[in-house]
Amino acid sequence: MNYLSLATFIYSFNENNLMISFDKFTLKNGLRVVVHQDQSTSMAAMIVMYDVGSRDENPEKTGFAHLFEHLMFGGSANIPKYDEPLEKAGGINNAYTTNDLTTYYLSLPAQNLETAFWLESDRMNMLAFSEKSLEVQRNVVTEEFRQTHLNQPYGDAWLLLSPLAYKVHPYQWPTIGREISHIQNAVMEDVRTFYNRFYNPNNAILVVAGNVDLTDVMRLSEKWFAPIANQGQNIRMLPKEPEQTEMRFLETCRDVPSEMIFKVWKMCSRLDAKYHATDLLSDIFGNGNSSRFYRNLIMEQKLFTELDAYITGSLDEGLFVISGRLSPGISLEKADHAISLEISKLQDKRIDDSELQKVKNKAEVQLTFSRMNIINKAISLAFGELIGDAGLINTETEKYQAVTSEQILSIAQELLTPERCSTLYYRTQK
Amino acid sequence: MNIEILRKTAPPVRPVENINLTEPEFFMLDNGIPVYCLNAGDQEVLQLDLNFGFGTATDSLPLAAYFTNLCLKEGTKSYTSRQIAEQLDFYGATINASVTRDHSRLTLYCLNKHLDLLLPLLEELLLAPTFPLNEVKTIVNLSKQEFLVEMEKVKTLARRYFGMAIFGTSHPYGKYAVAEDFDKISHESLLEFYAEYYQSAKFRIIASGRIPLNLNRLLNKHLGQHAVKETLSMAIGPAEPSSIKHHFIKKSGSLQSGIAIGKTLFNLHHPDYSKMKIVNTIFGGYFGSRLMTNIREDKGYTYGINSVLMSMQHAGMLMIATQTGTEVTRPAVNEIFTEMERLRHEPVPREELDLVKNYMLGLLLKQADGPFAQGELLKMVLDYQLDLSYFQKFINTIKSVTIEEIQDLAVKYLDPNSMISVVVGQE
Repeated sequence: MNYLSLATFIYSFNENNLMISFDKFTLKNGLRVVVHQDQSTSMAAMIVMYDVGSRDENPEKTGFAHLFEHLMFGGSANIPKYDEPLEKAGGINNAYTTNDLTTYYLSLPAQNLETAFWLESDRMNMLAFSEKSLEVQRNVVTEEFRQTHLNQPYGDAWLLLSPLAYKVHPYQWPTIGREISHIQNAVMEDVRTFYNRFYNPNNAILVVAGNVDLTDVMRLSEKWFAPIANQGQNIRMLPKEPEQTEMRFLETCRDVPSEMIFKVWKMCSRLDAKYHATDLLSDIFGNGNSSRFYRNLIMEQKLFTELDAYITGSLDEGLFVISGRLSPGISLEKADHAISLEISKLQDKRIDDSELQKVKNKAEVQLTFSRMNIINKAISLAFGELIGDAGLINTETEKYQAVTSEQILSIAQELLTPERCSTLYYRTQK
Repeated sequence: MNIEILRKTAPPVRPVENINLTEPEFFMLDNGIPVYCLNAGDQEVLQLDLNFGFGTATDSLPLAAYFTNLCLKEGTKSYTSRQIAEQLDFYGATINASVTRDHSRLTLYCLNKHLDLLLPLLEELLLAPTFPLNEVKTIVNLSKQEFLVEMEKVKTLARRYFGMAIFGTSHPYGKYAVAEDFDKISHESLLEFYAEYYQSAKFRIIASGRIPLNLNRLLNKHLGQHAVKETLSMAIGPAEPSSIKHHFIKKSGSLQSGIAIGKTLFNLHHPDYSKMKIVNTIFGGYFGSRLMTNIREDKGYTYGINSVLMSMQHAGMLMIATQTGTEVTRPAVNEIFTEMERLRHEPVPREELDLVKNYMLGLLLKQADGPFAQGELLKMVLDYQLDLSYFQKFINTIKSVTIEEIQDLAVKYLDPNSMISVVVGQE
């Protein structure tokens, strides 16, 4: 090594971490509002995050939360096309659905902020429920299903993996749905029921960020959102996934160019005290070109051409995922064994401080970079508020920095055991 | 007033009047390398973008430009591939390598307080790479496997066949690597490409973010002392488009077809370029576009469809791309052509044009938001030897363009008979 040698130079970044300031208040109908003022931008962002995801679906009607997200653009009581007035105000928008939540986000020139209030409050207040929109979006989502999950090499991997890992909990189907017929069979009555149950002010978080003024936001929230009726509390009662005690295995054979392996373990929820250490554990395996997987299994042993480790970050018990594409001529059994050896190394011995500090630093820089963008900042605030406190955005770095190598060791030992693992071999057709 | 009455009327909107772009600070390193600095933002981060005036169009050996750029990180005189990766990861820094037809780029992202620790590394990558045999072979193999996966996607295939069809396969913009090309890349071929292009390349630097006070001195020390010369601009002949108008490539077992339709067009220097950007936005360039409204939002044939107007150094192109269910591919293609005819034969309604104008001004405001975004805008104009006044002119064009001009341009450039269409999938 040389003058940039790292072992002698343990370095922590958190001394000048910038805090994200915010204010929050709750309207009478239960809508929680978070405001972040940032005068360095000329834009404003608005996020409406609804506390509903694919985990809240009927097992016979999966993919519905996501289909519903599409319908939210099909017109509301006073606005026939959501996008038009926003585009006219110089704004752009999109939305996404996960297992846990549904997020609608937009940004526009700050001077037109009221347009955003008008748009988002109208579709929270009363959706238009048009038959035509439902019919078209069933088709659009069917094409999305095909494009992302069927007509792509390995696209159906999660359609196979989710039900292997979860036997009881609704995480057993992916957000897109279990099968296309569930989407094709959706009817207007389902749409109304879903809307009435979940799309309520007391089941949502509103974040307004950017070049905005707190008193303006308070006034506009009061004007546009406060009159929307509170529909009563939605109580979520999801079955708890029982502890997995047996190794699970599935293989499939498809017309793909190379073989893949997927290994998943159920891990703690996003809110658990072990979450940050588990995240760093996955980074030690797979984040960056200096990670163990990349150096040992890709560059040196050349067993894989791609190998990732990551966590899903779900609000109920999530997954710790290892997935990789094999080099030509390498057997799945051999690849699987090599992954197990890398896991054992982390179960046998505490990692060096410098390796731990490296993944902490990387996590911190990634958080810093994600704050360069006003929409990202606003989504982080909304997510924090959804899980308890918008202020979580300011304590994330600390939580990563506080992780110890003992914690990493004990999580590796407790979590990554064979009897809690579900494995999928994705074979090529010979 | 009652809120339910208020809801019936949209709040008034004000279009974006002006966009304040930070004028970059300019200086030259001792060896003549130009540096543009955009000092802005509130996070202590920095992006250092090194731009080289050569790309894959230059390749005499396919993929040489791509892998030379990618493998600069794979070993230098003083550092191994692993050491380079360790150092970057330790500081949470990234060096992105990217190559287009015309340009190669190395972009360093880091916290600005680490710049002085990372610049010696960047200097090594650039001035003393060794392209170690083993690492090159591994990296080439990784990319080849990724390439083979890509080649299974109808989206990728449609775009490739489209590029070949509109430029011709012997044109520098119309040639595409095939699987066997990966096997021809070696330690030697990368050294050769490096010696010819990188070693004394006069690249351009754009620094954006919170600029440290000593940036000039640091850059001079590490990147300003070796001798450089201008990259010679290469001569590129006209496109030789395929004489076949409709191409169908069968891919068995596909549930969807990949569609690409369009033609070669001009680049950013052409007097019609800015206005054509507006025509393209109306046609297929935003969510509310004609194509999206008809083919997705009315008929549900696709998850998404868009049209792009792309500028390159020596040419430009227009491309409409989508994926549709195989059973609706033919009607989708027909609707794309119908929408071209509609723009040519019917004047765009005033309200629609006004909406697009506001949308485009808002988008530009967003594209200029933050130091990194402004760096991208600056890069774009510098690639064409222009300056930021380009955007002021573009704003004026957006504000002043008329219904008649839109229709004239559609008549001139959106003739369905001038288009080449490619469909990959099942018929």
